[in-house]
Amino acid sequence: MRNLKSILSAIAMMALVCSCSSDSDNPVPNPTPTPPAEAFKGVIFATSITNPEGNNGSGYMQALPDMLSGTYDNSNGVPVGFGVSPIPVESGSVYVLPDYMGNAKAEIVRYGIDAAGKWEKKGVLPIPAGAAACNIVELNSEKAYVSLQGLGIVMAFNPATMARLADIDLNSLRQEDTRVAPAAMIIRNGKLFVGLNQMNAQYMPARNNIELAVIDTKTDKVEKHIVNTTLGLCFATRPISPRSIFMDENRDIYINCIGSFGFIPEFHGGIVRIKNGSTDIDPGYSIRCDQTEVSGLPAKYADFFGEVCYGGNGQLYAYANCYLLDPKGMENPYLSLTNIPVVIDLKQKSISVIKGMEISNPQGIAIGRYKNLMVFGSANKKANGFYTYNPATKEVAGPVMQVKGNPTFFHSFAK
Amino acid sequence: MARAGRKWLPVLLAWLFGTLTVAAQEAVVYGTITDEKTGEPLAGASVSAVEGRVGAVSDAGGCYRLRIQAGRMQLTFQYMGYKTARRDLTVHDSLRCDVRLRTAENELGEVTVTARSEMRRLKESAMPISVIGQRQLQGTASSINDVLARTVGVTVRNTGGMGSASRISVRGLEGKRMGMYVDDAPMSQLSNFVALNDIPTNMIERIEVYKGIVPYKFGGSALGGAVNVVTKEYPPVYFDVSYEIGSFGTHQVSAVMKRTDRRSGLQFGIGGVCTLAKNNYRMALDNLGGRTVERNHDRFGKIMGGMSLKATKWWFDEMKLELVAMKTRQEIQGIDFDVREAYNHSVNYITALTLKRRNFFLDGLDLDFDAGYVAGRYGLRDKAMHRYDWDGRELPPVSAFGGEQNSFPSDGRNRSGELTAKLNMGYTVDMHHTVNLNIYADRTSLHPSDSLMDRALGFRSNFPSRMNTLTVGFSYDLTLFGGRFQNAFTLKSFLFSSDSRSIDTYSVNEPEPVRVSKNYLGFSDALRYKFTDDLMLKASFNSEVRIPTSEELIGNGYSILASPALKPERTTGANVGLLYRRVKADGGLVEVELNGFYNQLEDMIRFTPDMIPTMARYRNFGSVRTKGVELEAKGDVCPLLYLYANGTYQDLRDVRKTIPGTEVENPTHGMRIPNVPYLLANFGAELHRENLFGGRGQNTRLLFDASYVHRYFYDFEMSKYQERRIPTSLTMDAAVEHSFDNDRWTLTLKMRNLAGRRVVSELNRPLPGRYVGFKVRYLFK
Repeated sequence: MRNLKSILSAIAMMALVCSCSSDSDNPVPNPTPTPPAEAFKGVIFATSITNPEGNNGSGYMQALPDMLSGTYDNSNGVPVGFGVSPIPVESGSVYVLPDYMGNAKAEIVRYGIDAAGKWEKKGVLPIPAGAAACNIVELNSEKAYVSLQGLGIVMAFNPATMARLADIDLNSLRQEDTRVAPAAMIIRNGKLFVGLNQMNAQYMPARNNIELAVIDTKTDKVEKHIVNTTLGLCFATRPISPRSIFMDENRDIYINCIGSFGFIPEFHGGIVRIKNGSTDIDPGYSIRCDQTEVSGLPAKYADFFGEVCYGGNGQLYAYANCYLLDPKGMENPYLSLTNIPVVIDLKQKSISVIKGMEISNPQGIAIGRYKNLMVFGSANKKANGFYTYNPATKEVAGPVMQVKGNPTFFHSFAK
Repeated sequence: MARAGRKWLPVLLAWLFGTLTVAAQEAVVYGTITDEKTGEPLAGASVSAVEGRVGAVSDAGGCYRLRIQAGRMQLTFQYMGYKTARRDLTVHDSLRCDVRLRTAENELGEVTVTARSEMRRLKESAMPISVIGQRQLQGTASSINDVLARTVGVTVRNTGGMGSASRISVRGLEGKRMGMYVDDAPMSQLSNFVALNDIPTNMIERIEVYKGIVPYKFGGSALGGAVNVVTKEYPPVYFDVSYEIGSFGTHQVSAVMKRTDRRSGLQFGIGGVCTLAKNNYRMALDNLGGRTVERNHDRFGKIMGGMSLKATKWWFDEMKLELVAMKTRQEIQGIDFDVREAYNHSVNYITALTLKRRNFFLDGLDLDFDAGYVAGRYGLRDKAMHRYDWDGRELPPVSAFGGEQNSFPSDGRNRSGELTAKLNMGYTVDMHHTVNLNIYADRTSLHPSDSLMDRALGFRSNFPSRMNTLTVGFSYDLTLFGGRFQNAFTLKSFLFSSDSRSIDTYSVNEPEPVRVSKNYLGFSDALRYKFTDDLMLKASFNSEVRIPTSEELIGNGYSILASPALKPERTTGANVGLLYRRVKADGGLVEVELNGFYNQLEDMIRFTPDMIPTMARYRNFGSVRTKGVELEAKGDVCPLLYLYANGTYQDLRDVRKTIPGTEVENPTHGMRIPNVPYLLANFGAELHRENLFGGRGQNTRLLFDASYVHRYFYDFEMSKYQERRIPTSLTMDAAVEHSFDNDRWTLTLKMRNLAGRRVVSELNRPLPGRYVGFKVRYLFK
């Protein structure tokens, strides 16, 4: 019986991990899932369009019954925040956040999708203006957390009623010359691990520290402030990339550190981990971008990983940002083609370019998993759309779905 | 600031009133010269007195002003193609004398060659232009923006109450593409500190709104159009003071005094403006569930004083020196947060010299020279160590060093200096041909300093910079068929250079020098043909460039990076219009104007953010095509009632086919440019009657103005579920104005946003509700 329980929980865990969802790592207690008969089994994706002023724009998400090839405009798109991703969770809900840079209704909307792919507004959570909400994880059907970058706060709320439960103030964890901005999060064994971005006035790190906060989900109190200064990496998790903190099959937590977005040579990006049973960063494990050659990349080294998605079996699929790919890379991020799809072997600590995939601009990078395929959203020289990669055959196809605007997000509910 | 204003106000008034004791010694005759049939102003008509020894020429609006010795005299009015008119007058101090000239096709011979230099202004009438006169400047309006907002093809988008930033656009093109001028002189860098809106309406003779083509005489490189505020010409003795008190703690005082010494011909002027406003109206916060709060940190205070000295007998026909000083303090009103401490401040000093001489060493050659220097000290002070939300909750500042705005604190102590000079030389060859040379030069130097911001950013971010621009314009005007046909062709050359330092990326610790030097060419042509006395056709074409501003080119050192490769924006546009204008038998006027326009803006300079919000820069990014139509009708329905209505449809579309640098179809190709109104209309009525309540020398006006802006999207129109839009607004203003003692006293009770409607600008900028104001004005002349 004990063995059976272990096997079942392992299977459940595998299924959750493979879904590439940000909160798919919290098997106990489980949010109430939508009854299978009514569950949506299709795919959802999002695009973004920039306004002429340049500093604002709009995003749209859509649901399809399957990953059907074709060209999709945004006429049926549900508006989502500009600069942030929609966040699907295991319960079947999809959270839509306001614009990351503000000037939008300060509220989080929880959507459900019926079996036919129709969006249903399930509830609205008001948040403070200027909060720069960036990530949500659900603990169970009655408790979830949202990180508010702009305020240094993680807010606990009830997803069923969309009512605020508590504010967990992390501002006391700030460094002397930075402000602390909670970023992507994950729950493991009742502990909420919150990536902390320590940012100066230029949104840049001031020192090579990897920092996380550990919050007890029972008390909503900060239990631990994780600080690692030995691995030479910083900026734990990319705030607008929920998948930048994830668990593998061993329940080891992996963290994508952004460094200085490749701008300051001494602040590096890469991958670190917190092993199962520990609340410290594994001092013996890291994949540093500045020290790990990318096989197939002429420039040899990447700057940081703009987007990642764990595909299971120790394979992490990522967009590696490399400014050297475009002579004007640092000059013009709108037109620069600097993001190249790669696969990272977490066990071997190796990185290889996925051959046949297009190089994208940084605005349209999305990675998701669809059945046995990995899906890459790409805004490249030839097309804007979603491409597929078959890890088994190494075959690349696409764009399977062409879109209007930058493809910023993809998620499949099909198992 | 309010305390400071209270302290300064008596001083200013005492200063102004103290000068009233100067005795009157010279007389002035002034007025307008119009066509008897059409009522159209006659620009360039000559007025002479004392057997031709004293003379003047009417301006574009038909206005003239003649300085003479007091006593009896005969004035002679002459204009090509019109019968000469004479008036016998007795003048003590000043006298208005309006004249209507009758056409006389057989009397061309009477017109002497003296008219040729006066023809220079006729070329303007071929351009698409709206002129706002005295009628609109008073009444319900309290500021220039109020008046401009009712002008066909013009959109004014304020972001708050009194003193708030506003965006004026003409036919959809706005901001830096618009030229702002005062008496033909560009405001240029000065517009960073002074808005046209700061000029009291009492001091304005008229406002000219040029659409598409900017007259060559203005200089500079505006390409969307221009707004030129023409201030009043004054009689020898003039004193004008007004005070307005209104809702939201608004107080406005303005005063002007002019005095002319007969013997020396020197005119001395002094004036000032003081504006204070709490702007404490209630506003709904759309982003925060629609809750309503009172604006609590939006006090605006501006005090401005100036003096001028004008000589008319020192070889030049006019030689004028002006000195102006102004001080502004404006709190920053929070919308998302309850901002409690941040404010902007500036102190500026302006000097200006004007020289004018007709027949400058050569008969028919006119010289017009302006030079000015503006010295400014300004900055944002944002040092708060706490932020607050609207529930009163204390939050940490935006950076470890404080601040309520952006991502860093500020304690700006910036200095700027700008030297401008404009030379205009026009030569009238004969009654058919005129040539003109215009040279405009501008040198701007900025010395920003903000040690607090530097500390927060971790590096020195503020560097001095210089920018020089030179615009040379040559124009040729042709007049044929007795003035029925006019054509003005202008060729312009634009040169600019800049010198600064900039941190290009974070990986560069030392700033790199940025030096740029470029030149471009542009041209325009405008023609007019009068089919009949009442009906004329206007057509124009232009292909012009706009030089990037210093911020666009060299950034600001901390949040906007330099873009030395930036190209100027270029427009190609055309306008065709029909104007019908008739003076009725009872003297009333009927005017209908229809214009169609087309414009293509290439290499549009856009603000583009980076992966990191503080690494934005300007880029040439886009191409916008505008098509539109404007219709305006106005007239005196009967001697008591004047009505006007106008409508504008302007369709701005993104015409980039592909995303730059790719083969990918532009997702917004063919779509309407968002956040620009496209359907606007205005309507108004004025009921006026002299001596309504008996007595003499009284006039009563009842005014009503309505303004409609159709809803428009904040983002590109993509989805049927899109919600972010600026809602339709219909605002109504009304006023009752009563003047007595021949306009010496005027009392005005005005209400703006009569219905107290909720009006929002820029998606999330709530505008004031109902405003009630009372204004009293005393005018002595």
